[in-house]
Amino acid sequence: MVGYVQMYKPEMKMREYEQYRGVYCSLCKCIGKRYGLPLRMALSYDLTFLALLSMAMHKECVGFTSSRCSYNPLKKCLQCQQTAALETAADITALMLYYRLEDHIRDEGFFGRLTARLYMPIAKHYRRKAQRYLPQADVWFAEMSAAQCAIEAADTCSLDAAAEPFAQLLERLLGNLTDDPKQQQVAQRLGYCLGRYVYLADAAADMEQDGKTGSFNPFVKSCSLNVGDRQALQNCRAYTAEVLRHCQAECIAAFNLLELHRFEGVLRNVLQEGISHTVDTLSQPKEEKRKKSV
Amino acid sequence: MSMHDPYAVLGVSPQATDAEVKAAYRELARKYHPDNYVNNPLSDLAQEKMQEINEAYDTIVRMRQNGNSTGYNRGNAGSSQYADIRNMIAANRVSDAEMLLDGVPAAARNAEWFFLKGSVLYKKGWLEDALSHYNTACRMDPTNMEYRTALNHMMQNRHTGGYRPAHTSGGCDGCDMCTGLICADCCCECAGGDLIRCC
Repeated sequence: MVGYVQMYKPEMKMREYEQYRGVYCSLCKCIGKRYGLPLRMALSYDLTFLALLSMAMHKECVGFTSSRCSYNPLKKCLQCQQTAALETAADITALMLYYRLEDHIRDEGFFGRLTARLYMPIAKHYRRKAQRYLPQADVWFAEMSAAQCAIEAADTCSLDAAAEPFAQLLERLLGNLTDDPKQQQVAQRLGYCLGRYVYLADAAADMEQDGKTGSFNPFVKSCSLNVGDRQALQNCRAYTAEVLRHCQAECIAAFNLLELHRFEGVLRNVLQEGISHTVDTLSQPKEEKRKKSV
Repeated sequence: MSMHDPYAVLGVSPQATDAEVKAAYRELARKYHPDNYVNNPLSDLAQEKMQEINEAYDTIVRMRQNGNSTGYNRGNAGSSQYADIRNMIAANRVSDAEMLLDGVPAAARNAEWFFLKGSVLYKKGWLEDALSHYNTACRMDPTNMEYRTALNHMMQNRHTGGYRPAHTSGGCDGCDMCTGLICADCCCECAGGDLIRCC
């Protein structure tokens, strides 16, 4: 469920792009240092967003310095000195990997399950480590996973009910970024709506596939979708775009009330242009997808 | 509430013109207007922000000795049989309000019931169910502006994503063309000619 919370580079200022890349590269190094090389494969823009948001909500200076990429020593990159936010994002990366693999083992086909089982031993090891750093977060992930199973077993038609567990998880994770009660309320609302968006975007991306295989998909259920009917599929895609934009609007309404010390432009690009671009891409038929922009 | 620099609140410099101050105020008011946060769980925080912006604008206008103060009035829903539930919703007591609403028998559920249930669902973040309830409320009572405004705001968010893209720089609109022609006419007249006879 990663890859739906990204920047939109064409509308970003160069300065903001450098900051974004700086945090992304710093997160990569932090994961490598804290967990080891293999978990670096699970590096995502989504957790970069979380790290950026955490840094933006705290007063301490991020302190970018010049450094070099671990994979490509010829490439320069920025390195953050303030590591608390990066460490939390690294821990959540480890937890997310473990619970995603668990989900794959339950839901995917033969080869999907096989691949997930191959990675499971190392993911378990990372999860145990992350559990020591963030015990509460691991409990939240476990609760989300159990609630998700219950929803899928109940085979509900309600989009809202289906999105609730993941939305609640992100509500808790983002609420944990601050101690100020008013800002916590705002961060929780942002977390809820962002989690809802991510879950439903993932469902929208898998809609056609799940319609064919009969796997649980809240959009297939709520639209009573017959994937063979092109018009129905197109209508359902238009509906998914509306649903996702509604989530986006609520995210932005909450984001506008956050008190940020830095990175507002970067974060706004992700929530506005970034999400809009993702929604546009998801709502297009596969055969008409535009060429990737810059 | 601590006193912030009113110019900093509006994001303008103290040397900004009255028109610039007004434009900045309008932009912020559009963002934090209570209509954008109707039934949103963060509405009280948005209201605080809106109050801060209004006070800043009033302070600047008073300091510049214009004497006009602007403000807004939140529409009053008036008396209703669900006054206590409305109070709970306004106080973010979502679970209590939902419990009371669910206690109303199905046959007695009127347009206001559907609107308030929709509001509770919206506060919870259950946007699709909220939309469906607002739709039903508007269908049952098409002339009610409170329900219609809430529904229209939701529909707008579903189409726009809740933000206005930054204006693209460059390009030329009608105002630019007229301004350009008037400037050209002035220069021409200074040189002894007359580009546009009637200006």
